[in-house]
Amino acid sequence: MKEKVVLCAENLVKTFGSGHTEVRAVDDISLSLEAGELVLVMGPSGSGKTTLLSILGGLLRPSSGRVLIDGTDISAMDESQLPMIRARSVGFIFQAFNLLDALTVEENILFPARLIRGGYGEASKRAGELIERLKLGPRRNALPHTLSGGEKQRVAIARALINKPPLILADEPTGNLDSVSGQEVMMILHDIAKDEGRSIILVTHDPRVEDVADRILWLEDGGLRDRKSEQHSWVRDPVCGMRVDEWTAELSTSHEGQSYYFCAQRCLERFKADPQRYVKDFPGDQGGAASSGAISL
Amino acid sequence: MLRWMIKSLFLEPLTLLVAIASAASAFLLIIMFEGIFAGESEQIVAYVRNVKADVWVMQRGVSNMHMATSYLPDWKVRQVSELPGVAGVESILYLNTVVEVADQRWFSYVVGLDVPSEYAGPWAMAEGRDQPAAGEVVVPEVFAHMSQLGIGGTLRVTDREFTIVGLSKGTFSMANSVIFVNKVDLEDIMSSFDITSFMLVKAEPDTTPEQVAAIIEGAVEHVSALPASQFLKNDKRLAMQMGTETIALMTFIGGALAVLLVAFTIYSQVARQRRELAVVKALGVTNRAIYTSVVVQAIGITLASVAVATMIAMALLPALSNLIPAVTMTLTLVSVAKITILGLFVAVIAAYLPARQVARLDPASAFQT
Repeated sequence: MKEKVVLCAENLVKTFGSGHTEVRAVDDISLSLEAGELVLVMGPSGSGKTTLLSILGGLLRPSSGRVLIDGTDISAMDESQLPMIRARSVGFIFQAFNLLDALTVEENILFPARLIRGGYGEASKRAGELIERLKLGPRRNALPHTLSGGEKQRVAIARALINKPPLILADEPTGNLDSVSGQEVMMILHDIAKDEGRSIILVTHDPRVEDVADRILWLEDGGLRDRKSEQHSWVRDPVCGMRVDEWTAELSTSHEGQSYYFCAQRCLERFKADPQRYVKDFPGDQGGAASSGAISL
Repeated sequence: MLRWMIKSLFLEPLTLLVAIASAASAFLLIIMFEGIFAGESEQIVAYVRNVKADVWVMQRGVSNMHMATSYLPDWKVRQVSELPGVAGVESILYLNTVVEVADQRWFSYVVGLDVPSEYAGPWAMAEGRDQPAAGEVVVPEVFAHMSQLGIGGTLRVTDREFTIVGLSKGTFSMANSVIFVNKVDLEDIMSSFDITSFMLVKAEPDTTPEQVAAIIEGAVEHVSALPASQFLKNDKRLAMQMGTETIALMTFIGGALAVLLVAFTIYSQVARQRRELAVVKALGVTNRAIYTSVVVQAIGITLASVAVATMIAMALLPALSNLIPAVTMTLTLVSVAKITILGLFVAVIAAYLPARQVARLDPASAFQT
């Protein structure tokens, strides 16, 4: 049976600046998400991931195109209507957790519930359930500065869920966490999608997250393309020779029309200091990725 | 939302305390100006308020005492005293002039008493006699202390020297103190004999001051007669008018200072909370809710500042009155109410800039790490 479509983005374009300085941060992106689907959006830094997330969550207006959440076109709404959509229909999870410093764990979780008229009583009960489920019971009255990174992110997840939004948008939710906490957060998000039927879009650089995703989308230069989780495009770092996945590599540069990918900043800097030294070891006809300048393995 | 904003304020109690203290100092300044103005205004009319007259009678057209000139022939005193409803009349001669004591000069009301005087003279004495004979003067106690004079000391009124025989209480004011001399001496100074400036009339117990005033005006030509309450009101209004512009300027300066301090505090608070404000906008808080919270924060800080300033003023005023006896300060409920209303204006104006800043805040910036 086909699942209900929660999010539908059609031909989204977002440009910043004008004339010579115009930048197309999001370039004709269409995307749909069904209930219970967990979709990863990956791509290099500056590829437009956060801009896309902001548009999908109604925080930023697209230059053209439209976004429908549960069938409601939020792109056509005026500024006074959008806050209620954000409060009811979208749950945000941020890399920096973004908890409110003055409020306790429970108050942070309940904050969005207070924005919706009449729903506080039920939300208060639900907050209790979320606190237990996310193992925050002993920290219920703690202030954010006393929490660990993992606890903060669990509070942020509970806050995103308190109003039962159909769509969760998470920006690098494991970015500030150690591997254990990161894994734990990912499994919570996975369960939320599968058990509660919430749709989740997750922006990340973390390749460990790929295992729990239903789909992986690759965003580069504002454009989006599908990528299967088991697929990799291995290339070799021209400086140290290490194997790097072109799909997920954060460090890259172009030289004489070819792209090169690096495992670390140090390698990128050495390459930039004397490209010819490294390029001569990588003949253009080597491997199947000659058109991109990368070396396929 | 409001709960969060208020809790955020208390997250840094020291900053909040400094903000309240700064704004309170500006309000304290205003309260002090107001207090001095109110105190001096009361003191300017101390004589009119304290003497036990029911009706004041003066030259027609004159309606107050402060800075006024009134001349009546003495025989009209007898005429008034014989009217029905009049229980008694005392007359004074009155001159506004500068009194010289050593190197100091004091602008004063010089009251010439028709001795013996039952109720037109000093209403409270600190020391000495309250009935000056020829060549004698009763001066305010504060005035004497400031000039380092006592009983037996001398001072000059115009070209004549007087010996101090009494020190009165409640008669000093920075604007004009009240000194008492014998009417004969003042007639001599003014080169005007058999005249009176004001008649202080007592009404019969079964007659109201209004009835007596009406009887006097109906029976005696070319005089004005006013019930004491009306006469006091007129005098006070004039005294207030004379200082209103100065006090308005001082209030404006103090108010502007308070606006700056409260605005700076709220602005800093909003600046510190930029990230969190972007987050709450992303979570669905409306601009209107944020504006309201910013205004409420400003009002909270301002009212707390006004309260602190009022409490400090209440504690300081009695001490200051003892420390600086030359200055009369009063803190009235009306002053506190006026300053509270001013404080609310201050809060709304102070919240304007931060509210604009919040309106421009991009909720998408919540994603910035």
